[in-house]
Amino acid sequence: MRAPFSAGVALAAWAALAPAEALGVARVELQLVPPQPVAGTPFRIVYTLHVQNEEPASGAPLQCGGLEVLANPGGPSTSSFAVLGGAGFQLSMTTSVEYIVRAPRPGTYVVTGARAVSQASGRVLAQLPPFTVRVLAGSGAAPAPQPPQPQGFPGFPGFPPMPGFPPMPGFPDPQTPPPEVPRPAYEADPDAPPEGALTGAQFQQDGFLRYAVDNPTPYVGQQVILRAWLYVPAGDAACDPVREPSVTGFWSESLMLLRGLCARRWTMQNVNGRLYGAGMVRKIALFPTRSGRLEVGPMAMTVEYLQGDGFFGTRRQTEASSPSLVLEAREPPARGRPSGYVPGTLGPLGLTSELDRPSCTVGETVTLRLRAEGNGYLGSVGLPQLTPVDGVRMHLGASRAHTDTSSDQVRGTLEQEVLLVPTRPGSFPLGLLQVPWLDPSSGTYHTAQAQLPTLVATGAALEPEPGAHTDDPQVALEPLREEPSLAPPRTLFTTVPRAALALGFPPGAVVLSLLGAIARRRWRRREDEALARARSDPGSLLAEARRCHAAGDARQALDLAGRALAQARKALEADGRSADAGVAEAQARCDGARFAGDTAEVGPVLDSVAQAVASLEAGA
Amino acid sequence: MRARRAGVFLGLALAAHGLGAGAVPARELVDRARHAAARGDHAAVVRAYEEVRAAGLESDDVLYNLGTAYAHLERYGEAIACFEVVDRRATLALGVSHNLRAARLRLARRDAARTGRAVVDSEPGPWIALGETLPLDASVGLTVLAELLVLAGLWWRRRTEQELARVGATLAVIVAGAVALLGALVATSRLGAPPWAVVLRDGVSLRQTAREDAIPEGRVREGERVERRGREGEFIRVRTLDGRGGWVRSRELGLLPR
Repeated sequence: MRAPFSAGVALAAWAALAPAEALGVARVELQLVPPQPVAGTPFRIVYTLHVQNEEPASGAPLQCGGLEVLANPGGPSTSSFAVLGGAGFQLSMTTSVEYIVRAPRPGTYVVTGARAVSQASGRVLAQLPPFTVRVLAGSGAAPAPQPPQPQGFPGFPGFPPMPGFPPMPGFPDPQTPPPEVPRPAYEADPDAPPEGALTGAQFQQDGFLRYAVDNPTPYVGQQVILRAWLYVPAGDAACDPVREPSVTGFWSESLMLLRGLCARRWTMQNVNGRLYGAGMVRKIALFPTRSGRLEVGPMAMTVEYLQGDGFFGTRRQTEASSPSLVLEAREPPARGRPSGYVPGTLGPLGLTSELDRPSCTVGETVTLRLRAEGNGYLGSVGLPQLTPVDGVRMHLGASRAHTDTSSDQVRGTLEQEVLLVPTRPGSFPLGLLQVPWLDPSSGTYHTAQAQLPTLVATGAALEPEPGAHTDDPQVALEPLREEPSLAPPRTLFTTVPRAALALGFPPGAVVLSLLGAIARRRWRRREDEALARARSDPGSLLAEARRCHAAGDARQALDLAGRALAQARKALEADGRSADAGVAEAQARCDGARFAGDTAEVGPVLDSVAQAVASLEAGA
Repeated sequence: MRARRAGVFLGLALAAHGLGAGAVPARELVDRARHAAARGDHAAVVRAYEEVRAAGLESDDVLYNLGTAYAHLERYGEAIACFEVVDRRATLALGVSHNLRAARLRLARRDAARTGRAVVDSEPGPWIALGETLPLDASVGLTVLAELLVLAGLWWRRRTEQELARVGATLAVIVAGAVALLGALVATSRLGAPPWAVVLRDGVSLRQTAREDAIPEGRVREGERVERRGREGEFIRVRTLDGRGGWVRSRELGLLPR
């Protein structure tokens, strides 16, 4: 009886302890109260730390980004809270603190630093990805107003006023709401992914890239900002570009530097009923260099993210891509376009000028620096040439273009140096510099002007330049021809076929003649072989004999018939057989006619020879 | 009816005479140019020879005189284009080569005075330089002649029975073969080289696309030789010898013959 009892106790103890060892969990949570905060109104961030069967931990303080922190309690700690739960010995501790914060303006804020740290070892037990807080504008999208909270006594915030007591002087009446403070209108964060329908992207469940531009129909030279966001079904991700967006037809300038990060911050967004983290991965300023349809090529990235929580989640890797994006670049309006306008010159444009010194001696070089400053890429803006000034030689000097990408609007600077050499004393006003530019917002043209300084030269006037080139034999020009020929130039080999034909003619002729000789030799050899074959063929010899007989040459016919018969017999004897009596008779008749010279018997002789040859060939 | 027909013919004849009377004969233009050159009026020389050229008379002498007048007027890009055309066509153009070099040096000096740096000429590479040692006609003609000499030498070597003559024929075949090979290389290089053009004016922009409103990417020097790689409307796609590419208006380029 005792043994089964002790065994049952041991089993119960093991059953209680076993899960406690397996489930060591630490978790941190952030929660917004209310869930949709409004700009200008304080709200709470509840920071909860939950530790189960783990060593005592505390939460790290939160970094609230641009939120104004009204109450900062620090991180939660489990050292003072302990709740016994589970199967008897499972230790579970939960604690939370509340941050009271206020957003100065609507937009997206990121709260970071939520993590549980072991008090004993300093080990990070759990942590949250950056937590995105979307703050609504004070009007329209704001949630239903909360009922007015009773005001506390000074120095005792949160202490409710006693019911039935009149409001004290100097204290607000709890029944009257506080006066409305007018809230300034703020623009939404342009770097946040656009809300609403999913545009500029092709939805993929595992992750995708999305494009957006701030102006799909810019003028030539007008800046467009291209943003690309990576969407993943997780709080953040690591990424590696596979294909960068191609920007043919644009001059481009990157506006963000990530230095190994995939995205600086992640915003949670509901896409097709599922929550996705979206991080901006590219921000590029584009400047169309021509009008018409321009395409930003697709982009692709390999993405790695953690699906699920930090402990039990699985690491996933996928390739996210975007479709291409089409922009329609417009030509600068023809209406009102001033002469001398260089397409791509967009304003407002500032012009300045300065001389390195206002006066000089005649013959010295003074540098006039012209500086244009404006939006976009000014490398294309060739500053117009100065109006010639009598008594001053002008030469274009160095030119430098610079772009500043420290802000979203790329600023360009163009510096042009003009070298001035006064050739006589006097005061020389250098005139007015004018550069027309286009205001893309209104489509109208304006002109930037700069009054150029006056150059004062002293000293004696320079002698007119002698023919400097004529003194140097290297650069002295040969004189013109007195009686130039007007005959048109004769060029024969201006085209490749002509030249190739001429170059290849002699070797080609040799090769052709060699080929002809070889062909002729082969043909002759073949003819000889055919003749030899005909001479030894009984049928051919017999046919030749008949032709000779028809031509009246009986002797030749009989000779040929005799040779035909002899060739046939030779072929038969080569097979090891002997001729029959008919053959011998035909041979005798043929020989007799040949010796007798009997021309009348030639026909029958030939017939008998033919029969004999046929029988011999049949036998062979 | 006959009188009416005669009237129509008479009218046509008068009209044709009137039209013909407007054109100045080329010889007269050349005389004008000669007189203008004598008094140093190079602008008038240019005007006269440009008219001659517009009439389709682009002889080597006309282009040489026009290029020289351009160079006097410091229109070096156009001068270089004229000299380059003649230099590529004529076999022995010593005066043209000298003036071409002089125009390039003058242009370089002007650029140096303006910007502190200048390029006289860019080397196009040994293979292209080989093709430009002789005009195409000369190289092809020389090659054909040398090939014929090789054949004649071979024939003579086979026919003759004297040992000395055989040695001489062999040497002649070797020399003529080497000349033929060199001429063929020159001709092949010239035929295989891309078509060239010369930038006629200063400050010509290289554009990204063949459009008036394209943002220029860079500039090409006046007198710089560029490779023609295509054409689209009024624009020619070019590539400079230092590897930059872009589109240039066709009127800003002087096209060179092969």
